[in-house]
Amino acid sequence: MSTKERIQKTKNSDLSRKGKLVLLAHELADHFKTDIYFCEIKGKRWSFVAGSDKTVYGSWRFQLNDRWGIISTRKLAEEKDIHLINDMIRGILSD
Amino acid sequence: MSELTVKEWVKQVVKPDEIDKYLIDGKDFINEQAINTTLAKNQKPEKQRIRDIIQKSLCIERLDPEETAALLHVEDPDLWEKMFAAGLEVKRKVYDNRIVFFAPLYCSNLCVNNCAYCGFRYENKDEKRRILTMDEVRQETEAVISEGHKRMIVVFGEHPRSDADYIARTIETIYNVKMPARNGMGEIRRVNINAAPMSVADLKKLWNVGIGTYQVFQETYHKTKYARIHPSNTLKGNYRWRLYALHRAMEAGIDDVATGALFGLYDWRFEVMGLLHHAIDLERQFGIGPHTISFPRMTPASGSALSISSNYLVSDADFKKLVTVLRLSVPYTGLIITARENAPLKKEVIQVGCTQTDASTKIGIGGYTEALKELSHLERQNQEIDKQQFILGDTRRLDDVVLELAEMGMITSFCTAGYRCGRTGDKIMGLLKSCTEGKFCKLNAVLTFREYLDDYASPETKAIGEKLIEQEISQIREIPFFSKGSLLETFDKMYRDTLNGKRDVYI
Repeated sequence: MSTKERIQKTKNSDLSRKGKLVLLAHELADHFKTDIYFCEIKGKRWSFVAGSDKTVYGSWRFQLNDRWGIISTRKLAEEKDIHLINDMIRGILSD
Repeated sequence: MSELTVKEWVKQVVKPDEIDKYLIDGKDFINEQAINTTLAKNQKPEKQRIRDIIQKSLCIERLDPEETAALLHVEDPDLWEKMFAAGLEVKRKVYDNRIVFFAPLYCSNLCVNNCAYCGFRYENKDEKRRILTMDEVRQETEAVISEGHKRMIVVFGEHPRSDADYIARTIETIYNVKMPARNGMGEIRRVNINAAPMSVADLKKLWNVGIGTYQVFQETYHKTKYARIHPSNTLKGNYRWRLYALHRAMEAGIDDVATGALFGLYDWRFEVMGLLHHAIDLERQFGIGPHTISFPRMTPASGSALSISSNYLVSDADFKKLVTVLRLSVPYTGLIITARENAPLKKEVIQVGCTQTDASTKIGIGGYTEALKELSHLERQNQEIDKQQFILGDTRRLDDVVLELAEMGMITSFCTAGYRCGRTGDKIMGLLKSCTEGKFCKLNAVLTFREYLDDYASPETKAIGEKLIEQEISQIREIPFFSKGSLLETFDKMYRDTLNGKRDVYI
């Protein structure tokens, strides 16, 4: 099963949003070969929701939308390619 | 701001189901009989037992109540010296060599309560009542930023005019203020709140605007004393509503919460046990203990005879001991010592394991703006007891305190990285307990201290500060942890960027 297919399966599952994010974080970490955190954004606060058990030192922070962001140790994509990540996670973080 | 009358507002604040849900077998987590029994049983601890307990703390493990009670009864001066040294060592392991600075901002002294020890009590007719408009909050924040601060704790009386909506607007206002510095713009990057207990719905309003830490002090954990000094016909008279304020905060999503007690109201050993039980219950119910613990000591307050005549006022020697025991008991929690304490004592107690303090502090409503207008150097004499909640012991400016710490070899930090990098709540607790977060404390202390030296420091502070930064960077290069992956390379680039004028760079 490809990464895209596994992510689609996760999206369609009955898991809670947090549960889906935990699986999604693993998929993205495998795909991009780096550790990531999904964070919920409130003002300046980026609160950890799901992601690596390891310490991710925030070299790269990217705000996906008003409410969610990704932190990873290295850049996952150039800004022009960020829609690729958004495509992967659409439906999980869109509300 | 609420449109209800004060009486109507007071009636709807407490939600009994938001207390009951956290009780265990119908009881709250303060069992006074059990605490007193534990204290009584541990009155003459064996020296070896104390040494074993100290070792447990040094392994960054939270102590059990029996162990804390034993520490509280140590009498041997040599053992106390070992405990003082262990407190500093615990702090260094968890948080490294830095002290984080903040400024308090008192927004309002309107209050519906009548607490016997407080200048804000509603029966105190000498108190000049005021609540800051958002323009005034902005002006106060500009003054705080101009000193070099990046973090604030904002304090409110309990009143419908300073309800959750007002507090949320205050947070948003403060975050939007920018002031020119020597390089770029200064700003406040973390706003913590000290306020009354609230419902989950109200706490979510604070969560939604990005609150830092939510701080509620129990004042005293002793129920009879609590009832005596907080009249039962006031909101604050509800012991359990206050006791579970931080539980509700966790439920609302606020995963950085802070406890405290006002030492001098009741027996200090009992209060230390109360703080420990509070931490234990938060861990039990949410998996996360308090982000910080505070231990203000009662000082003279307008209209409060209790603040001068209490039988439980804490001596300087006992104050140092209680802070040490707190440090050893909850090794991963931040400890805040404030400008309530005079400069010499603060210097001494910081060295038993405190992690945060304030400076350039003004606690009058509108105090920062007024101080700028007066440009007075006679700051202690210009404190106005009828505009302040209490009297400050340390009125020194931020630069003076930064210099003092630098001369002691301690680096000042204005770090706000953790809560902007997903290192919050149970994530940061795990990192603190494993002594990993302290590594990031070290890096971010250097980055923020660099900013301070270049943007705000006096020439004298800068000269000493440069040497301290060199020492810190040498240590960073020698510590194996920093050689992993690209962390050192990332830090080097960030440091160079900061030197070149880039601001708000953090790891």
